[in-house]
Amino acid sequence: MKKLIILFVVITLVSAFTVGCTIYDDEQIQEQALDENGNDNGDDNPNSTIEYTSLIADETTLPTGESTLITATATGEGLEYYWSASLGDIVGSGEQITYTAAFCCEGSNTITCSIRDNLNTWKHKSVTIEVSF
Amino acid sequence: MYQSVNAQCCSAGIPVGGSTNIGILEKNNFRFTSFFSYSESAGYWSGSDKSIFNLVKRASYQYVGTILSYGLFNKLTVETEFGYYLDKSQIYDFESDVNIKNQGISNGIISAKYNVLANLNNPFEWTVSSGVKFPFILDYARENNVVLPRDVQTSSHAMGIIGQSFLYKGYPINGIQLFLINRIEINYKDYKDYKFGPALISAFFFSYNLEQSNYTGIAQIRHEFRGKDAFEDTKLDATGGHLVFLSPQLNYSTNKWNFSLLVDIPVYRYYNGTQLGNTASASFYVTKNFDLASNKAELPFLNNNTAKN
Repeated sequence: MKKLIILFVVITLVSAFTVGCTIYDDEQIQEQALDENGNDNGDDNPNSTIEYTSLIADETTLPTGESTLITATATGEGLEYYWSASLGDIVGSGEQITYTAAFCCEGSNTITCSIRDNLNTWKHKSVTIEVSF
Repeated sequence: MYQSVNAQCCSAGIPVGGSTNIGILEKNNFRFTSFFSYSESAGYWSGSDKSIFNLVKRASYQYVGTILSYGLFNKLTVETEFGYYLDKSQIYDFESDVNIKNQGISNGIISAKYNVLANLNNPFEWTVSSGVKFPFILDYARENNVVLPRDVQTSSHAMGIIGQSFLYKGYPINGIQLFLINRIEINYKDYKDYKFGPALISAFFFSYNLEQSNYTGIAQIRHEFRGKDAFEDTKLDATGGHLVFLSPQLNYSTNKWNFSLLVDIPVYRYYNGTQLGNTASASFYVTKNFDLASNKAELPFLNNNTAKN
């Protein structure tokens, strides 16, 4: 009985850790450095179909608790849009999202939109939004 | 007897960091605890005053957890704890309400509890414990390729350490037991350079056995201090604060089964900056002890059904 219980605990922890660590592996986005303008040409794959035109926020300074639309403009085949923010919340998905931030997130926040095409090539852009009271 | 922790910044909280079954076990005894928690937050607070600020209208979670404890020796119990958010969501107060939901596994804890002092004749016990908090999920959860807000993430994505002291004094003639628990949690950075602030929690319990019944009433008063979170080594002003909870609890024990219901009522809050405030939480616990050996209890705490939990 004692051995069974110890075995159960070990198996539970190992399986939970294994599952947990692999849940998002297929969604890992290539981490690539953006230049000082928040642009990145992605990989050098000549077959990339992505033409990433712009990433524009309606407002680049935002009072705390307010929101702004951010729009990614791009063309290509089978595009998927991946969004993240250093601080603050993103609501929505696809080419256009809403960004908002509460008091916890005052300061200069970077919102990044990475685009992947059906050839699994990536391009990235980011925009900075100043959140202040 | 249980202790739950509420309110990280701007959210309904992360219970697995503080759901604590405090009892130590006899050698070769095993204890299984399962619990369900519901917590809700609504309304913003600035310092200790209500704020008119409004962004997230309501945040809540439903959480199920499991605690497995095993008595390696009479003075040493090892424990592991893990859980799953059935639902963690927040509703934004936009022109039309937007509800962002998430679910998933939370952090795990592995800890060891060591009994430092015990007196059988004049019931008294001091037990200390330390442990490691670890994430099952390292990456941030996404939905439709969008990273979900930090407050609906189910994991802290980072390691942490936990230390705890447990003091017990019993008055068997009166059926009264007193407990004092002090707990510290220190968190490390996640891979995005975000670090939850440290937590210092002190809880005092008054427990009273209703004579000739399996019921025990417990009143808990708990103070939680949370330090400020940090991002890229810069402290975030509107995180952390002080909270005081009053938590009435009712226990029912029978044949090594224990059922417990408790409610957390915030009676004082001081939030740094402006933050979403916790309104109330409730938890239901089921515990079963397995006696894998026929050892007699050697600690005063072990000789009491109520205190076992």
